Amino acid sequence: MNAYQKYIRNFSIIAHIDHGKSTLADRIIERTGLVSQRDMKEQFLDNMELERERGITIKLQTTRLVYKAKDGEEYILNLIDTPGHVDFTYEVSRSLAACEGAVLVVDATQGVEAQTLANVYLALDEDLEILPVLNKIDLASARPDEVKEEVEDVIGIDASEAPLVSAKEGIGIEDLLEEIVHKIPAPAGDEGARLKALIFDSYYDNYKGVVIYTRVFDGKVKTGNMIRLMNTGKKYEVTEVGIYSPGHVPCKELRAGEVGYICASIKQVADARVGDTITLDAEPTEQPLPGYKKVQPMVYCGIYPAEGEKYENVKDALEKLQVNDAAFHFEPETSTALGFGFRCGFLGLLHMEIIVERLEREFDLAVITTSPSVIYKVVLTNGKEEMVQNPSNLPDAAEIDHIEEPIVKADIMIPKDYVGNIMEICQDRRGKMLHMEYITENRVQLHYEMPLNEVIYDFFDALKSKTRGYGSLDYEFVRYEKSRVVKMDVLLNKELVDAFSMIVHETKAQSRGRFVCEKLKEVIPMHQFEVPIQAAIGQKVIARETVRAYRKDVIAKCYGGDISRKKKLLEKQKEGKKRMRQFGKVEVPQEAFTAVLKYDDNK
Amino acid sequence: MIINRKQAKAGLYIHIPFCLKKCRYCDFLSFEGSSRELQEAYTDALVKELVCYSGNGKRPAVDTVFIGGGTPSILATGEIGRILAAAERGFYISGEAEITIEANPKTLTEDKLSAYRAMGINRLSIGAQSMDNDLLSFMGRVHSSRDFAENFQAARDAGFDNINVDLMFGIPGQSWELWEDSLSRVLKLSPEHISFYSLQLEEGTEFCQMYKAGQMDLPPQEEEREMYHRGIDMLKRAGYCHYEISNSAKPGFECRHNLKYWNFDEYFAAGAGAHSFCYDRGRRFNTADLNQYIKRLQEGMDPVEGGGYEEESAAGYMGEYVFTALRTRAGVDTEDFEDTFGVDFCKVYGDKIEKLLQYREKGLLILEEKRIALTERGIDVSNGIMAEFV
Repeated sequence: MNAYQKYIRNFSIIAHIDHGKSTLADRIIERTGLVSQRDMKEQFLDNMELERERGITIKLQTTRLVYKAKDGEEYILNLIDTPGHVDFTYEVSRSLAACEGAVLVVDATQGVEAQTLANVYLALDEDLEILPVLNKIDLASARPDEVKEEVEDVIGIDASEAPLVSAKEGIGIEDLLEEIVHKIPAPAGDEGARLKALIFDSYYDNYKGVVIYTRVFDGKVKTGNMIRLMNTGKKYEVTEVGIYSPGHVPCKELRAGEVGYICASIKQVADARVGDTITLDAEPTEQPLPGYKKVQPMVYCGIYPAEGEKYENVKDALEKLQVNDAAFHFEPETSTALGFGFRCGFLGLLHMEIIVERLEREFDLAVITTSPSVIYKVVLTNGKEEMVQNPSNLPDAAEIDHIEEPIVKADIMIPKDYVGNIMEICQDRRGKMLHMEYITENRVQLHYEMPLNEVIYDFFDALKSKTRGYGSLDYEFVRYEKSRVVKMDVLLNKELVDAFSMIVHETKAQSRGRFVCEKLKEVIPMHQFEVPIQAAIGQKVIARETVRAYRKDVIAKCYGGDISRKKKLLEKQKEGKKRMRQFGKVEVPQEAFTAVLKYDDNK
Repeated sequence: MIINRKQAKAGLYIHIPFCLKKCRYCDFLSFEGSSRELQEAYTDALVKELVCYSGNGKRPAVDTVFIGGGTPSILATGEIGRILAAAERGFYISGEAEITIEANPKTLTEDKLSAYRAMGINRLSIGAQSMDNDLLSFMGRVHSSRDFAENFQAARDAGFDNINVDLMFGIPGQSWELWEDSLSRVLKLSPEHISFYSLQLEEGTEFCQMYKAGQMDLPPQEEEREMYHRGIDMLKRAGYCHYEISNSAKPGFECRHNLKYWNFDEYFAAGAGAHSFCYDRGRRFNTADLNQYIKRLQEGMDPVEGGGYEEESAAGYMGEYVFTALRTRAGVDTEDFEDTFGVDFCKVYGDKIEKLLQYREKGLLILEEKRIALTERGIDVSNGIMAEFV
C-alpha cells in the first residue's frame, strides 16, 4: 500500500427509502466542515428539486470530505451516494464497486426492509465492509436493541457496536465517523500499474461536456492522457481531472485508490456508461473491471404533447434529458388518437414518473402518457422473433405462434399481519410463490416470481395500500416465459383509441377491461349524445359502459357567483375544450390516461 | 383600468351557507345539520367582515341587499338582526333600498316575519320549487306544498308586499300538466315575482350521480322546453313580465339586486364562498371553507385569501357583459357597452355580424339600432349564441 492510501476511505451509504440516508449524509458533510450550516440546503446531496421534494435520491452524488480523527490524523473520506430506488439497482451496484465499505442505515423504528436487504446483498457481492448504523434513535418509537438483533439475525453481520445516531438531531455523528475511519479498509491498488478506473456515474455539464465520476483502482490519470473506455471502445483526450469537494476542484492527477472526476469532451452520457472501465489508450490494462452491463429499459410508454404543446418542444426536452440519462430511450412514434409523439423506455415505473414530472416542471410542458408496457417477445409462425413494447405494434393474431413475457423475481417484505392480504394480491397478479421466510417474529419476506407486466401496473400502490405503507418491494428480471397474453383495445363511441390499448393476460382481460371502462365512465364528461365505452379483444367486446347523454342549451341560473363559472362553460362550448382530447366526437380529459392506470382500493 | 363606467349604486350580497337538509340537486355552498354554535360563530365572522367595509369613516353606498343561501331564515332572528346592523355599519344603505331575504318553507314563523319587516327587510324570496308533494320529497325538500302556502300567507299577514316564489321544472317524473298545476296554484297566490328554473344536473350532486348511474331519467329536452314556454305564456297571461331567462315579475317588481348581475353593475359580497365584483378589483371570492372563513376573520385576515380572484382581460369583461345582458329581455344596450368600455361595439364584434344576422334570420335574435336581445325561441339555444361573444 502506498502511504497516501492509508488515509483514504471510500464508502457508500445504503438504506431503504425514507430511512434517512440523505439526511445522514448531510450531517456527515456538515460535521466535517465542508459546507457551512448556513449554505446547507435541506439535503445537500439530493440537489435536484424533484429529489428534494420527493425525498428520494435519483441521481447519485459524490463528495470528498476531510475528517480529522481522534488519532490526530486527517482522513479523506470519499462519500459515494447511491440512488435510492429499485429501478436503479445497477447504478447502486457500480457505486458500491467503487468503495471498500458501506454504511448501512437502518431505521431504528422500522427495522430491516426489503430494499435494505437488496442493498446489503449488493454490497456483500462487492466484498464491502458493512457498518450498520441505527438512525432515528431520537424517536420515542425507536427500538434499537430489537433492531440490532434483527440486523444480526437477518443480515448476519455483527451489529453490537453499531453507532446509534439521529441524523435529524445530529446525534452520534462523531461515533460514526470514527467507525468509518477504523473499520473501513483503506484502498489498495498499484499506482505504478496500468490504468484501471471504474466509471460509477456520469452527468452532462453544459460547459465541460460529460463529467465522469471515477474510482481509480490501478495506475493514474492526468490531463492530456488519451483514454480508452474499454466496453464502448471509444477514445478521448482528458481535458481535466479533479475532485469534488464540493464543486469541481481540478487537480494534477488521480491515483490508484482515489476518487474524482474526469472530463474528456464527451458529448453524451451514453458514451460514458456507468460500469465501464477507463484505461490509457497507449498502455491499456489487460482486463476490464467486471460487472459492466448496458442497462436496458424494462418499461415503455408513449409520451405525447398535450393539446397546444409543440412536438418539437417535447422532442428538445427529451433530448436534453437523454443526454444526462443513459438508461432513458426514446424514438418517434405516431398514434392515430394522439398524433405525433414518442415511445419512451424506462428502467421502471418510478423512472418513468420522474421523467414525466421533469418534463412538466423543468420544461414546463404538458404531456399525455399512455399505458406503460413491458417488452414482449413475440414468436411468429414463420419462426422469427419480434420484441414488441407498443401494444399497437403487436402483429396480427394469425401470424403469432406464441408470446413470451418478462418474469421478475420479487422480494416483498411485510409485517406478518398482512401476509394473507399480500398473498392474495400476488396471486391475483399471477405471482408464483417461491418461498416465505420469517425475518423476525413479526416480519416476513415473501419471494415470488411474477410477470413484470403485473408489477408495473399498480402492484406497488396495492402493496403500500394493503400494508398501510409498511410493505416494501424489490425485484429483478429473471427470464422470458411463454404466456397467454392478448391485446385489449378500448373503443369510445365505437372508435378504437389506440392510446388506451394494452397487453394483458387472457385471464385478466375481463376484469381489466371492466376496470378501464368503469374508470373512463367516471372521468369522461357527459356529452350531448350517449357515449358507449367498450373494451374489446379483437372483435369481441368484453366489457361495456355508457356515458349518458345530457343536453342543456340554456343556463337556468346565473347570479353573482355563477358568472365566471358559466362564462367558462360558454368558452368551453365555443373552443373545444382545453385539457380535453377529441377522439371522433368524444372529448376525453387528460386525466383519463392516468385514471385507467391508478390502483383503486375498491376494485 | 378597463372599465370606465359611471357607477350606479352597488349591491350587497350576504351568504348564509346553512340548510335544514341539503337538496339532492343542489350544488350551492350550503351545509346541513350545522350546530347552533357554528351558526353563531359564522354570524360573528360575517359581522366582522361586513363592518370592515367601512374605511376611514367612508362607507360604500349600496341600494340593494340580498341575504341568500342556503337558507338564511334558518338563523335565529337576532342573528339576522346583527347581520343587518353590521351591514349598516359597513355600508351606506340608501333609504329606498331593496332588502331581500331568502327563506324555505318550514323555517318561517309569524314572529320571524314581523321581525324581518321591523328590521327593514322589504322583499322575501321563498323556495317553493313545486306544489307536488311527491316531487318535493323526491327532490329532498323537507316541506310540503301546504307548508309553503301557510308560510306565504304568514308573510302577507306580516306585511310583505314584495314576494318572490322559486319554482322548478324539468324534474324527473314531472309532466307538463304537473308543472302547469304547480304554476297555476302559485299564480293564485299572486306573488309579485316568480323565478322558474329548469332543473340542471350539477357535477357532484346526488341527482347527477343517479343520472349517470342510470337510476334516474330526465324529461326529454323537447318536453322540458315545452314546460318552459307554457310557463312563460301562463305568466304573461297573469300579467307578469318575462324580464330574464328564468324570471318574471309584475311590472315594477323586477328584482333590482339580481338585475345588477346582468347589467354589469358592481356588487359587494360577504360570507363563505361569496363572490363580489368591483370595477377596480374585478371578481373576487371568499374562501368556501367554512372553518377557514371563520378562522380567518377571527384572526383579522382577509377572507378572500384562500378564496381567490379571477383575472380578467378587457375582452373577457366584454364577454361577460354581453352574455349576462343577453339573459335579460332588455338585452345588450350597445351604447352603454361603448360607454362602459370606451370602444365601438361593432369594432369588437364586427366579425360576428354574419352569424348574428343568421340568428336573426332564424328568429332567434332581435337586432335593433342599439339593442341586441334573444327572442323567446332564441333562449332555447342561448348557450350557443352567447358563446359567440365570450
